[in-house]
Amino acid sequence: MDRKIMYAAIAVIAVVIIAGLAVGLGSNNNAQNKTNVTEIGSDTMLELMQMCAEDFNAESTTVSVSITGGGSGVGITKLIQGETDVAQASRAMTSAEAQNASTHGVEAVEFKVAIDGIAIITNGANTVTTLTLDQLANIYNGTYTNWNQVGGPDLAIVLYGRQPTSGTYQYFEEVVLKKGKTGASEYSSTMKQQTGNQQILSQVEQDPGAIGYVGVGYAKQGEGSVDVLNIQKNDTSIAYNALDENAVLNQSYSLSRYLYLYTNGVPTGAVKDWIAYVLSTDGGQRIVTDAGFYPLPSAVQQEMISKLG
Amino acid sequence: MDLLTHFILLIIAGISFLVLVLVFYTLISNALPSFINFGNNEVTDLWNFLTGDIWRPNSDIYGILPLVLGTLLVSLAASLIAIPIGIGCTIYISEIAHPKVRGILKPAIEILAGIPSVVYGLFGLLILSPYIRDIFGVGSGTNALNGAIMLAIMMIPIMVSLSEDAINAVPRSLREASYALGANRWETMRSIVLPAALSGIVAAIILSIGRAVGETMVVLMCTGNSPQVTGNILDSVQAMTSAIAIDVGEVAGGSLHYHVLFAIGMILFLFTLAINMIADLIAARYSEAYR
Repeated sequence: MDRKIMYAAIAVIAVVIIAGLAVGLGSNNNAQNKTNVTEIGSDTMLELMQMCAEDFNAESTTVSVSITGGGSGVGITKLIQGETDVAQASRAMTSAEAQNASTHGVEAVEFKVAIDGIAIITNGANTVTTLTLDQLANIYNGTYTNWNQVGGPDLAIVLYGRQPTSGTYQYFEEVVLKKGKTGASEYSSTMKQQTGNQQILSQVEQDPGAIGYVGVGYAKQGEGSVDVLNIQKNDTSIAYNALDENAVLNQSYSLSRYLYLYTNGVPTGAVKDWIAYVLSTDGGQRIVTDAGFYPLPSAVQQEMISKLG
Repeated sequence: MDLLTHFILLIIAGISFLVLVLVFYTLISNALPSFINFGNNEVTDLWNFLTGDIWRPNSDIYGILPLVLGTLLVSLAASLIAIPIGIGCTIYISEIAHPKVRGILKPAIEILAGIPSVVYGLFGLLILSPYIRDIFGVGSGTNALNGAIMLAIMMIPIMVSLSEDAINAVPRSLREASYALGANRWETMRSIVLPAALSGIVAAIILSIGRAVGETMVVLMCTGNSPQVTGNILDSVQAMTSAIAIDVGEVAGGSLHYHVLFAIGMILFLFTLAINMIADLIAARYSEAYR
């Protein structure tokens, strides 16, 4: 009896393994018919690029794109080392990276593919609606610890942010905390480091005194339970909101940034097909809106398409 | 046939040892470059690494004191919560409870041990933390106390099942001798059984502390991850395990930050190794006592 059970078990395992191998080989064969394009980089862009790749792969008969996260810096490093065809980055290449690329004989070509606004969100119960960039910096470097220091209720400020490897963490550090510029300050060590935009959003929804920074797509998801603050460049300038598409597009909103793709040299063949799809109005630019970002203004879009030659 | 079985089992046992060696090798080989680089780095050196109170990897400042203290604060608080409850549970289940009650309680506690840590993490993050925020009147409920309570709940089943084994291992003859001298159940337990099982119980406690120190998911989700030096249980802290888990996915391979994460892993490994060795030493003393 025991032996029968054992044989049965072995038979089942064998069938599973053979089936698995067959499926694995089958899918491999399918993939081999298409030219594979790899893309690595920013996590902020991961969902957006995966949505693009899904639609592109379904449409294209000749090219298959695979997307990996890892952070903007990782993507650019891999591009320079020749380990990926395309790098996605939520910030422009630094001069050090550009230098590194040229010493490795890599000619990095930059494509803007979307615009992102970093939204500053607070709990719906908080009455503060507007902050200047200085106030925001002083909140995040720990100078201000109570909302009454910026005209709000007597409530302790709870800081939420991203982890140090995040491109958004680095962007905020540069633009708001002015890293490497005059008047630079550091993130307060009390900032609660979250591993994603979604975590920041749900914590800010919970805690009355919370403040956080997220991509504008996430801020839209939280509408009703979180407030998106207006941001002023200084005391006298006009305040703009990340939800205001025009303000983000013409960069009058202080925390707007482009999202980029980088290739080695002007792309040709499969890589060109992919970039062209991301830039196309019916393709990538439509998906950009679905993913919560803003599509390129048509002038910039035309400029990018003309770069493809 | 016997020889073949012997051989196969030897290989299987050998594999687990090999895995340990490989893990240790990976840790050391990846951590070493960070120690070498410390000497060449203007911002940090080995002494600053071990005692620096600022953890800011993006500016190449790697003081791990906030992380070490974060781990210690959360584990210590968790132990203070878990030890009385764990020992109380053990005594009740092994000596006092009616067999029917024991039949329900024991499996229930063992099921606690089988719940994935991410579930505990979710519970702490979504359900417990708002209560902590409102009861203590702090800005956020994701803090050291939140993590400590969830860790304590995870420590209790380990502590109970190991220390119950220790109590059960006290020879029946000792209890009978105590009863024969006229001691009642409480006196027997307090003066005979507990002292006899003490080293086993202490080993159980230490092993469960080892679990707390190495736990990642719960502290990552519950403590809020602020790498600050603090002794306040209501402040948010970041543990060594959380720092590794948060950063390792996105850090550029081969960078100083990457190697520093392995160095933290090695320090953590030494922590848990020391804890396990202490537990083994104490348990070994105990097993000799009644042979």
